[in-house]
Amino acid sequence: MAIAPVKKLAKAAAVPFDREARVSLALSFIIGALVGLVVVAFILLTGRLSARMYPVDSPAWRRVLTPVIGAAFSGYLLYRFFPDARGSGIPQAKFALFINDGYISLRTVCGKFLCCSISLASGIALGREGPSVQIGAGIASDLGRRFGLSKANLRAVLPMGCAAALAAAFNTPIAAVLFSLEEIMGDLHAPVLGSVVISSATSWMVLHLILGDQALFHVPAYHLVDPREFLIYAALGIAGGLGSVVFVKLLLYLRLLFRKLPRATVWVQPAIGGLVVGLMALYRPEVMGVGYDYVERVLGGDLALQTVTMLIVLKIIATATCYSSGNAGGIFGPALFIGAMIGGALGSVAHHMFPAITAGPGAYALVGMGAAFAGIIRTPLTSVLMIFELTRDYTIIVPVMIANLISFAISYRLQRQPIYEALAHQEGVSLPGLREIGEGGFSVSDVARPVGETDETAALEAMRDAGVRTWPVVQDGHLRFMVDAAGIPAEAGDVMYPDQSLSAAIEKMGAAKVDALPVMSRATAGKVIGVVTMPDVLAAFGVTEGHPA
Amino acid sequence: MIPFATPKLVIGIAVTMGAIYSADQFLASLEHRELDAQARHAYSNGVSLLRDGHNAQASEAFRTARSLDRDNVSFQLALADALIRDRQPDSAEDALSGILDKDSNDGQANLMMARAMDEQRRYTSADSFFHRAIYGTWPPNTEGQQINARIELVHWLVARGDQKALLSELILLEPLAASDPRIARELPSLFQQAGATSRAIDAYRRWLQVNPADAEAYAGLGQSEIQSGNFRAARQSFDRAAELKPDNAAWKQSADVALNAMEMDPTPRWLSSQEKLERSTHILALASSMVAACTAAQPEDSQLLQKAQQLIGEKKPAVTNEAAEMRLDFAETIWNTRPVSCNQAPETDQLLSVLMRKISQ
Repeated sequence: MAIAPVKKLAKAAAVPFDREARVSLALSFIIGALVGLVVVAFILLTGRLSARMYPVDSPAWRRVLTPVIGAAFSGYLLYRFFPDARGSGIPQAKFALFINDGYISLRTVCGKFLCCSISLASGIALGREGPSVQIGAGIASDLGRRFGLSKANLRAVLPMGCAAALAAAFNTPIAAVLFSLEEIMGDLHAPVLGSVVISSATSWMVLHLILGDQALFHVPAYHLVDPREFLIYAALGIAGGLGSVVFVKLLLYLRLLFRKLPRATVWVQPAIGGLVVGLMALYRPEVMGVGYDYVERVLGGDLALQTVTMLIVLKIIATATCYSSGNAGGIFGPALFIGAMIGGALGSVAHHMFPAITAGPGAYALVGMGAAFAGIIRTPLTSVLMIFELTRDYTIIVPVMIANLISFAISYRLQRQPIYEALAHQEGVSLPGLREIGEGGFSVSDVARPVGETDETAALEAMRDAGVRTWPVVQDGHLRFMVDAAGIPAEAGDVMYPDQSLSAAIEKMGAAKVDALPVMSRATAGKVIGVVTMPDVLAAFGVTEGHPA
Repeated sequence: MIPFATPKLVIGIAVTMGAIYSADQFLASLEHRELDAQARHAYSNGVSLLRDGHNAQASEAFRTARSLDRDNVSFQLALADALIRDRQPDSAEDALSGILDKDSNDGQANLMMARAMDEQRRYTSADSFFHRAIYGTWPPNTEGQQINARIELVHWLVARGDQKALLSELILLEPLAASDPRIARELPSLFQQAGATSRAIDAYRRWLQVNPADAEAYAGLGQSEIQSGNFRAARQSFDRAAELKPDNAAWKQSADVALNAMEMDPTPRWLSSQEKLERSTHILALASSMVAACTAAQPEDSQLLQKAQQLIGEKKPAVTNEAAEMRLDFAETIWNTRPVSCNQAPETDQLLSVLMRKISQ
């Protein structure tokens, strides 16, 4: 009987899988606990250090010098020892997940912890949540490797680390799970959901064990005063969207400018960000650091309109400069800060003009936080849940949803590429977006044909072999153009990436009316690593020449 | 045992977690201590600012204290207090709502909320919060605070002029007067303000039995006696008050008013008809001259005054109780038609007021 050996083979093949599944399950608890502990230490350390480095009533010279020295020192460390610890941490975590098979070195984790602690403690206007995500992902990656996980399973533990980190950093376990799926994985139906939930919950419990049950922001109970208020919340969505676009475009523009500076200046570039923050802090100390104290104050309606308006402008410039100059730190916190200030300003004006039908400015600051987060980070679902969990106030959730949606739509319309994707592109990396990845089924890499240097003659030959009507011409590893069966060159249109699903390949080929597409490297922009053809895709699904196999 | 894990790896992870946990606990306790110290500093700063009348700065200091230690109810109450004094009852209400959401029976928070409601002119809510404060829970060893809350409610009702509710509260407060001299001292005048003159007189007398040298209490008793129409007793009380504090001219003047009222009082049963008629005519003459002196008197008053002059000038009036009553009725009518702004002679005005009250009784 032929069936017995097949069953035996399948059973044997299943053993390592079961073992790894069990290890992954155990790791989800360990990752959650360890990441929770490390992130709590990170939060406490940066909080205590910043309270000493730039106290509220510190002299002016100290407010200028502290961020400059801190940024210069961390900049040197980043340049000399930890080059992968630069920036936010979210694109880096995604890069590790999709390009590096889930690899983040322990050195990078330590570097991120150290450099972010220094830069955030010295008043650099960046957030701590993005770095926490990379630290969490790095710890998960290191543990996964030490436990001997395969590459596929190593990739699966990274979202656990990300979720655990965000759950501890923001005290938002549900939003952390959603963020891991929506932004990091790019797939809300990812099969790692269970493990991600476990690690997020474990991390959250560790946070509570050490710091107790405190929401990140304490907000008075707000509610919708009048149905006409929805119009003002919609206007806030528009303002939040526009503010997000300005912030993202400025950050990307400045990042390009800094990238054009000579390579020898890389180590000193962060100090420019520090200098900008320091000079602003001469006038407005509120611009320094994460600024959650001031977010809380505007949420309570305690900041004057003039201050709030000024802080919108200053924080956008400060954060964009700090980030683009290469400091270590994230944009989650600044996004919430900017949103709260936009909401506070609009709410103050609205409440002044229509006191009878509007809530206080604090309610608008709360909704503004969500709107800016949705516009900048582009994770509308996470944003709604995050605002709910950050404030534990359910009553304002409908205005938050409306403003988020409008802000997201405006941001998408005026700045098509999300910020992390655009930053990755600047680095020459192509990160996948939502629903692009072929998790759980065949992916392009399973059927792609490898290609090397290909001139037009070789392309025509390869075309005949593969039974297709178009083929890429590759020179120095890069895509030059496509040629058809008649040898006529055509502009390269759509491309595929190895991790994308075959259904995405079929969709793209159908839309472009071609039967082959080049497969590009995500790690190196423009580099061709293969070709995916319609016959190969159909064969993978068991269909050949129009007949089921 | 995890199949892929070696004992060394498991021990390594456990040791690392233990070390980080210890570091976290150390950092957390350090943060807690520092934030606690900062909060207390901000609080004491706010207390001194509030004492100096810098309400806005005090509320900022208390706000800082509260943001550093959110579980401390004292900081929240101090913030609410400063906000009320700084005329920001809306913000105070927000601050207090947080406490009352957690414990709706908190006596102090309810009392503050009553003040915030009063500032916002939401009097029904204020009244309700006052009562919640009185019957709410207070911290240990602060039993007097509940009584203070009721006394504050009493003063609030006095200011609002709600005599009925005031009397209800005073009746509840009265049993405490025996053990609380402060209440016993204040109660009589409060009864008087509630319109309960006889209760006021009783309360004054009880107080004076224990404190016979209290000149103000004698004066208060005199006022109550005048209100009750007992001019003789009033005069004795004012005399006693003036004896104890001879430099108080107002009491001497009140004693004179009481004496005059006693001499002009047409109501005693023992008065002969002749004397009653004379006193009535005198009262009518006083009332007429008082109203006539008012520049703001209306034309219709002049007819009344003419008729009054006829009655006053009658050569041989019938010496009957009816004649006296007619004069008193006329005097009352003239008195009641006097313009509010008319305030020619305070002593006469005061005298006629007490007499008219007695007559109307």
